[in-house]
Amino acid sequence: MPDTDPPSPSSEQFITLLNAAHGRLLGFLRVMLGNNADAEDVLQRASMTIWRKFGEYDAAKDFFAWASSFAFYEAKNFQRVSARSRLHFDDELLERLAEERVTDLDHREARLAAMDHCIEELDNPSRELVREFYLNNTELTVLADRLGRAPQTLYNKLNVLRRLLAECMKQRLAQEAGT
Amino acid sequence: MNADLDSSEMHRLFAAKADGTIAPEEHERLSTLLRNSANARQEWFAFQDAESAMLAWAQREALRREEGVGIETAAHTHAGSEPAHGAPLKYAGALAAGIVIGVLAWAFWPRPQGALTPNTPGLAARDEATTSSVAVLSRGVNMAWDETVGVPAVNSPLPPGVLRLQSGVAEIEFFQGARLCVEGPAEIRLISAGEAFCRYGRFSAHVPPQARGFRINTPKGDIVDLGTDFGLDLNATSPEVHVFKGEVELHQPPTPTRRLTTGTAAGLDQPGANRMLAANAAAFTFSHDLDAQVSASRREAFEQWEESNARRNSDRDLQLHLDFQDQQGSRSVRNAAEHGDAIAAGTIVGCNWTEGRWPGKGALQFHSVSDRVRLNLPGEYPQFTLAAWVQLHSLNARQSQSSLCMSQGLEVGGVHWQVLHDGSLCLGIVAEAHPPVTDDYISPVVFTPDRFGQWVHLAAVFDGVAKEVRFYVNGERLSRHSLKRAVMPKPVMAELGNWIPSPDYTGPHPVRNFVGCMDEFSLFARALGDDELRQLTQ
Repeated sequence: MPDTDPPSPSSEQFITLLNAAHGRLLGFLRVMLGNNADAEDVLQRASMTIWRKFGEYDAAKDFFAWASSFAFYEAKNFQRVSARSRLHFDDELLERLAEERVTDLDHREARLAAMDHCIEELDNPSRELVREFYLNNTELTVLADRLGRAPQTLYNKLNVLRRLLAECMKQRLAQEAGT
Repeated sequence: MNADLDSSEMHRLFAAKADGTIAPEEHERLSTLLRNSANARQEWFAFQDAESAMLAWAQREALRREEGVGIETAAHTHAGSEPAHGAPLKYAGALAAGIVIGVLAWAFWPRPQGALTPNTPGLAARDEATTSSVAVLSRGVNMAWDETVGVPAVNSPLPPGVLRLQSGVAEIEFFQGARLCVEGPAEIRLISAGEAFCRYGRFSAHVPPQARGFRINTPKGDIVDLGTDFGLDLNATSPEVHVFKGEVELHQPPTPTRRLTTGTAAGLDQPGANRMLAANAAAFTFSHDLDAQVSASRREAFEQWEESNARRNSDRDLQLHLDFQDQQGSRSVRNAAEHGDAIAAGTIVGCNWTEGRWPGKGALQFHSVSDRVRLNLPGEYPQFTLAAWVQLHSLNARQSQSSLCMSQGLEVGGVHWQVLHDGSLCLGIVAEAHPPVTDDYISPVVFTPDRFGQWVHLAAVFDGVAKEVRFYVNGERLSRHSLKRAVMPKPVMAELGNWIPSPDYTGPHPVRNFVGCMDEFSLFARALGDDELRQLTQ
């Protein structure tokens, strides 16, 4: 085995690598596109390109670094043709975000872990609101209707929770860095 | 105070952008802020990660709540009755051109309270499994695993934990890039993508430069690899490490760290005794032989398949057997069944020819939304068995169904065999045409992420006589369901790996394409029994 090259790229390898990089690629795309649905869409398209180009992938190189360049172009392309929203970051800002995000992603896992703790600390009604909102991507008007509350009130409450959680996450991360 | 104000305004803009409620001038403000402030960009990144965390949490929460239902289903299945949620008839909503979109998947998901989208929990499951794995079992020969500890399948991702190989040779690829060949008897505990603890066994490691720092801990000391090939024998009376190429560090506190380079070996028993030896590559040939052994055992399996194939093709009830042994590049797949005169060769649209379960075995790869095999399956089937060897590559959470074999359109008697987005199997028989109503029989979940990329034998049996539908995975019965009503199945025009409403339909229709490979497909005009199904997979 010592003298043989790494096995030729296969679909299994591709899937393993793509699965392992899935979260980070999504995290990479989110900061450019701003929301999860678009990031998922673009990642889906980028996966096709990455698969087609997989023959050129050098197994000695970092898969994420290689794959993220395709994701970046797909994101740019998506913004160009997407009719869903006319508001996006311009290319220059996009490039800047992409570049800085690559190193910033090292903090992602820690942030996710800290947030998990913070969410658990919420009271029940707050947790339910978070769950409903993120799971269903429920139109707040629908949710408000069901709960018999004004949409704006609900949205404000959600944003208060988001800030609270962000603050909690920050503190946890600072504590961890301190210890 | 001022900073607080800024931060709260910034957060408001972040949320508005994420929720798509941001106004143009606000968007301009956000862009400027991100352009000019490194701190704002950092906050933006953290905000997005926090959003990811909340989404992932919500999905896990849904999955957790759903698990209760899953257990109930399994219990019912073992008892041989219908699943607990043996859903009522699903009425096709009058969606675009009367086509059903995800109606059945929708009905399948439990809704604890009010609305709950059907497509998210599957995604969470996939994400979770991938983040917890650290390595993959890439190959192996004659592997006998200690069943009390766990039996991993080839190509399955491996989470941290213990593996005990009683005999045979296994190859583990760590996500960091190191490749470890293990000869049983051996016990190894995977710690991370770059670290393992080996209690006993013989190991041969190949560590490419990007996996430098790969660490193997043993009861006798730790080995840190600096980009090498080395062997480790913990089964010898005196455990030894042999370096074939490159360099390793040997940590045996309190002895100072030792470095071993190409061609040297050291005993682990007496730290610091400097019992330097010549590396003996011959002692680790099991890893060099792995390639040859793997191909020999695969060749043997292929030959066995060819042999049994001839026997199977003579089955009187076998109407269609696609073995995908057509010429590479062929645009049709021939029907190899001896008594299958009624069914012509299938026509390939798109798809790529690829290798199947073994070298020499052909397979079709379905990848894009256009890939399919068109078949004409005339006649009525009071009983039938559909069977296929497939390798599923992924499930799209946004797509409710992936076709294994589906009748065109939604005519009465149409047969729809498919994988649902959550990884369960569904056999649907169209029972009413206007509006379309399909009687769906849904199995427990089969495709969890660790099954992606593996060859799996699937079978669905429709038995109009015994009035039941049965599902099988790798020859074992998974579930059985009582027939909801008597409908005579008539597949007529059908497609493998895809579905179309009708050839002349031009509007948009839901995507149903299968993403993966298929290397065998059969249709029997008989309800195969448990024993027959078991034999079929051997």
